[in-house]
Amino acid sequence: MSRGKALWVNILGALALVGIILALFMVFVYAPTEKEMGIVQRIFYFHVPSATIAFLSFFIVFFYSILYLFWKKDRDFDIISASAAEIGVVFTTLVLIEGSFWAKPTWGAWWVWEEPRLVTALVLWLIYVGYLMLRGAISDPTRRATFSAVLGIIGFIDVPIVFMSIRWWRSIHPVVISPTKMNLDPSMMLTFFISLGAFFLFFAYLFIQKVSLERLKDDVEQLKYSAGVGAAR
Amino acid sequence: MDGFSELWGLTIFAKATLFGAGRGADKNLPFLFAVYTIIWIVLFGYIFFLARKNRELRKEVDSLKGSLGAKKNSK
Repeated sequence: MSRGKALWVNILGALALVGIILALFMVFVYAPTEKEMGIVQRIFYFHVPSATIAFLSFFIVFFYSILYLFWKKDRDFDIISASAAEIGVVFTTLVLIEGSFWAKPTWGAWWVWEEPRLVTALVLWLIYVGYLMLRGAISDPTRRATFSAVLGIIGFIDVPIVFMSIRWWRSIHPVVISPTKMNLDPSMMLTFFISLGAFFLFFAYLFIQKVSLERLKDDVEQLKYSAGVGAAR
Repeated sequence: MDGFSELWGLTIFAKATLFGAGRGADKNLPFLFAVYTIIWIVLFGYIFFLARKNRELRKEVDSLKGSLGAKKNSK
């Protein structure tokens, strides 16, 4: 990464940090307490943005996997997919943890196996953990990229299932976002969108850092190959 | 245990100042505190992991470039 680009990335990181701090202020000071669920509802302001970023990450995996398989076997497409997948797994992990901490005081249980949103989200996490494990198990870069791309495309099928699960099946999961409106007080909506914006900035920063890291790994593989150490391309 | 008492005291203080006393919020505040703590540990832990991996890879790149350069010079 050039110095100029590194500076912009650091500025992005700083903006993300400021955004997160602002979001925290909004969540804990500005947003009112929800009258039915009480203070534990404030988990929503990080829970939904975490899920949004996870879905965005897996969409990026899906899109670049299609580009890799059906357009051009460009190494960069595989790097972008892998980077997005890892970040998606991190945010899906957060979604599951946040959801459990919200569920315990609200539903009286850390996990409800009959709840379709929880189960489909867990399946999503397992799919992309599997994606990362698949990548770790294959040393040949071309085969790794090809198999990952296939899984990246198929795995994305679960994303709309997770989103629609509370509408397709009987569910106790709260429905905040519906096709015509958001069931939120205006001050809660503002807090939510600021938190969402902060998460997008944070995602952009993480994504750029991760892509840069994957390109470095690629450089290492290339150099090892040139030195007669690594696998042939 | 002293550290835990201080943390609990801080939590009650946060509840009183941020959410107002008397709303019955005490029993769920630990869940809120715990989940936000976990969020920060996970996110900053991931950032530190990326930064460390970045440093290690840059060292490896420099080392490989150095040994490749030495090989070329010796030919």
